[in-house]
Amino acid sequence: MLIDIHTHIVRMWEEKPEDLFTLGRFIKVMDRLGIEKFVLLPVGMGISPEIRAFSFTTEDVLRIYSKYPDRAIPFCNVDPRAGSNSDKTDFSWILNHYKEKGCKGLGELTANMNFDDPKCMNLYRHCGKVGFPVLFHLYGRLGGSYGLSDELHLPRLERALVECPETVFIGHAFAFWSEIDGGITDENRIGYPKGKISSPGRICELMKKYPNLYGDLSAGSGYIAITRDMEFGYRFLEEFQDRLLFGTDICHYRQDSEIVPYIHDALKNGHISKKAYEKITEGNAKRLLNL
Amino acid sequence: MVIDIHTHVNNRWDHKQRGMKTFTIEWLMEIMDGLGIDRFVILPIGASPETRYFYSGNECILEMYRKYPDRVIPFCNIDPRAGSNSETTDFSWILNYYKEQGCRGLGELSANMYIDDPKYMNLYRYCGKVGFPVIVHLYGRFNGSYGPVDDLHLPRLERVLRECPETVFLGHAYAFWSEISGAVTEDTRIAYVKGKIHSPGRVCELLEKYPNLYGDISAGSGYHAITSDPEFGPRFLEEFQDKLLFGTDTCHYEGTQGEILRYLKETVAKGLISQNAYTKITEKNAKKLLQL
Repeated sequence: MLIDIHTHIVRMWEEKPEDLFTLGRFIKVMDRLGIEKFVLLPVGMGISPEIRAFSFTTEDVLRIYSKYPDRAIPFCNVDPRAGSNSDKTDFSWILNHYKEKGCKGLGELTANMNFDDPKCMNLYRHCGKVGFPVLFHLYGRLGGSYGLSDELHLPRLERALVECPETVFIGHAFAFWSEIDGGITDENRIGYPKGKISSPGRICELMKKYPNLYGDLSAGSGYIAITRDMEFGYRFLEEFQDRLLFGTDICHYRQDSEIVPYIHDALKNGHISKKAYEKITEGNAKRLLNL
Repeated sequence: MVIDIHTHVNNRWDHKQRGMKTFTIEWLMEIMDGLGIDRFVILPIGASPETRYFYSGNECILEMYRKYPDRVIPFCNIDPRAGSNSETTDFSWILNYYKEQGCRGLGELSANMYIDDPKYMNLYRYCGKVGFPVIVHLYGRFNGSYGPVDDLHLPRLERVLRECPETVFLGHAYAFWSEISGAVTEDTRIAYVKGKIHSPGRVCELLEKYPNLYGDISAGSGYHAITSDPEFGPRFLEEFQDKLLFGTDTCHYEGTQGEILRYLKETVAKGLISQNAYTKITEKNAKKLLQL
C-alpha cells in the first residue's frame, strides 16, 4: 500500500477557474498514481498568510475525510501566531478539538518565521503533548516566500529537536533537503542543488542523533535529494528506512510525480530492500500517525 | 436607511466549550432586524492568524452576500504578508478578483505589525488603486492580541495617511478611539475612554487634516469615545459628520451592540445633533465611500 504523507487540494491566486483542482480531479490523480491513502495538509488564507493560495482549511480537510474516511488522513494546521500572537498561547483546546475530529498531525507549517521563534517553540510543545507530528516547510530566509526559516546547517532546527523531544518533526522543502549534502553552501541551499554528494550532510547527522526527526520525501526537493547521486540515494533510503516517508506534494492535477516510479523501480531492481520499501511507503506513516 | 459598517459572522475556537452556540448569518440577520439595520458590512475574520477564531474568510462572506444581496455588503481581507511575505507583493490580481465578486473594501486589518510596516504600506497602495477603503483595528503593542500597532499620538498612522493619499482609512478600536482625547497617556490608550474630554485629541486633528481618514464608531471603543463626555460627543458628531460611520461590531448573539444606534437616535431626537449629521453618519457616508 502506498501512503502519501503530503498532498493539498488548493487553488493558487491567478489560477483560471477551468484549471481548478477539484476533489474529483484529485482522486483521479491518486488513483492514477496507485496511492491508496493520502495525508491532506491544510494551507493558504485562513492559516498562514505567506502563501499565494486561497484557503484550504482544516475544516475543508475534515469534510473530505468524512467523504473518504478510508483514504483521506486529515492533518490540521494552526499558525504559531494564532490565538493572540504570543509565545504563551494555549493551543491545547484547538489541537484537542482537531484530534477529536480525526486529525493525525499538524502541517504543513508555512509561517515565514525563524524555526525556533518562541511562538513556534510553544506550538511545537503543544503538538508534542497532543501527539501530533509536525510537518514543516523549511525555507532559508525571512521575506520573499513562505515557510519556516533556518540558516545553513540548520542550527535552529537542532535547537527545536533538543528542546522539544516529545514532538516529532517531519522535514520538507529546499532548505531541509539541500542539507543532505555536506558540501552545501549559502549560495545553493535554496534551490535544487544537483550532482554527486560529497559527504553526508546535516540531515543525516540530525536524523542519527535525534529520534524525533523524520524526512518527507515529497516534492522536487525530496526527489532530487535522493536521486542526484543515485548510489548515495539508495544507501540513504536503506540507512534511514525507519525515518523516511513517501510523499508527492500533489497540489495540481497536471503535476507529475517522479517519485512513484522511482520508488517502485528501486525495489524492483534490488537497489533497496523490501523492508525499507515497505517502511518508507507505508509502515512508518502507519506507526507515526497511529493508523 | 441604516447601514452598519462593521459586523462579523465568526466563532471562537472554544465557543462550544464555553457553552456558546454557533453564530450564523441567520442569527446576525435577526439581530440586524431587531435593531432596524437595513444593510451591513460583513468583515472576514482569520485572514491574519493573530485571532482566536475559526476562519470566516472572503469566500464565506461572498456566499452570505449571494444569499442576501440586498442586506449584506461584503468586504474582503488580505494579510499584508500574503503572497510571499514581501513589501513588493503585487496585490492587483487578488484585489480585483474580490472586487469583481462584489467586495466593497478591505478589512478589518488585524496583522499584529506596525501600521506603517513596508508590507502594510504596499497593501494600502494597492487598495487605493482598486478603490477599497481599509478598516483598521488599531492596537498599541506587539504580542498578546491582534491588530496593526501604533505609538501614542499615532505618528505612524499620520505617516500612512500622508504617504497613501489615494487610500481611504477607517479607524477602529481602542488605540484609535482613545486618541479622541488630548489627555490620553500610555496607560489609558488601550482602554475605553472615560469621563470628560477637556481637549480634542489626535483623532480630531487627523480627521481635520487628512481627507482620507474616517472614523468607524462601532464597538465599545467607538461607543465610549462618543458617549464618555455628554457635551463633547454631540459636538464631535456634528463637526465630523462627513467623516464618521455608524457601526456595531456585532460578532455574537449576546451583548449590547445596539447601544450606539440608540444613542444616535436619542441624540438626534433631543436636537443635540442635526438630522443631516445623523443621516450622514448612519447612511450617506457609507453610501458615498462604498459606492452603494
